[in-house]
Amino acid sequence: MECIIIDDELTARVITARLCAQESDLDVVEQFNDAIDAIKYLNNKSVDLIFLDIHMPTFNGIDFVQTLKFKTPIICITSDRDFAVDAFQYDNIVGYLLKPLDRNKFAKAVEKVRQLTNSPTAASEQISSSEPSASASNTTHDTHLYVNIDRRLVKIEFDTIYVIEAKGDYILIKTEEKNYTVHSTLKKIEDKLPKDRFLKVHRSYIIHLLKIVDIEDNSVLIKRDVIPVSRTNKPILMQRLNLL
Amino acid sequence: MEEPNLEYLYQLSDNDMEFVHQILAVINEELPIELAQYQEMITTGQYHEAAQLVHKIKHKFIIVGLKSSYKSAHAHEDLLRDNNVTLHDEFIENVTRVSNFSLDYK
Repeated sequence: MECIIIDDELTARVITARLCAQESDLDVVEQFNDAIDAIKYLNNKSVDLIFLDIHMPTFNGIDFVQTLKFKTPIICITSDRDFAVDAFQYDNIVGYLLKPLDRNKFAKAVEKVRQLTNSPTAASEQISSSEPSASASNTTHDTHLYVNIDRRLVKIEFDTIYVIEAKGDYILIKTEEKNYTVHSTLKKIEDKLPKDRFLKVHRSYIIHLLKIVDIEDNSVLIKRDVIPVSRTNKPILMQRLNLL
Repeated sequence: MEEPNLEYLYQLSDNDMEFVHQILAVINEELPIELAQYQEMITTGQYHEAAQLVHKIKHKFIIVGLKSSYKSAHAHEDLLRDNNVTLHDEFIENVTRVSNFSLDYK
């Protein structure tokens, strides 16, 4: 099996590569200290297995999994126990190993990948998508979502959000209690929000419709924020309001 | 006080001295750079960035068997995210211990 290692720490990459060398059928074809470089590599080449560090500064492991186009099995390697539950929401994450790596646990995780790879039915069932599984999504989509902030997954109730603003590579989620800056796009979060309550009113803004205080010309007032409404979105906004 | 040791690396590699020296060489190469970056982040009050460096450095503690130091570094990392530098001095002491230990094998 051809594999790659993604970890920003060289000692971790050397140790992972060493354990791979102890498995006769594993061939480490490339190592990356940055997940973005790995994505560029995977745009042109495919591998059988990815060893992935979760906590990396510029683009973390969960961002990587969400960006991955293909269904390559992933074994996460991290110091953080906290990510385990959320990591397994992604069907192609088949193993989760804590640092420092343990030989036996490493071998078991690789064996699990072998079994999945050798069993087409199991593989198609278990490695079906890099999106979170439908069952996991259904249980969370009605009331809240989790966002990745400083390597923690923070729960945000939908109905506490009043506006979401695009800020370059980030989005600013404003809630009743506090604001959150998250590395994501407006498009990604729009897909997660309940469509009956949220509307994109401008290329940089999504608003919670029930939080609107008033509307004037091409802007809406939400809390104390004046949010611009684009000309194309204004008719859609007006349709969604309960006008007298 | 626990002492740095090579037990984990020997166990991982079936007593392969070449591999053990390779890891120690990497620690000797990476640790001074990461420590300098960490010190700069502390000096400039960029505690979240400092926490990320602690996250990287603490793995080296456990590689050389310093479990208590690893736990302390983990706590330091969390505190830094709350702009709390209480464990800074202890962290520096532990980095120095790891650095001195790995340099002995240079």
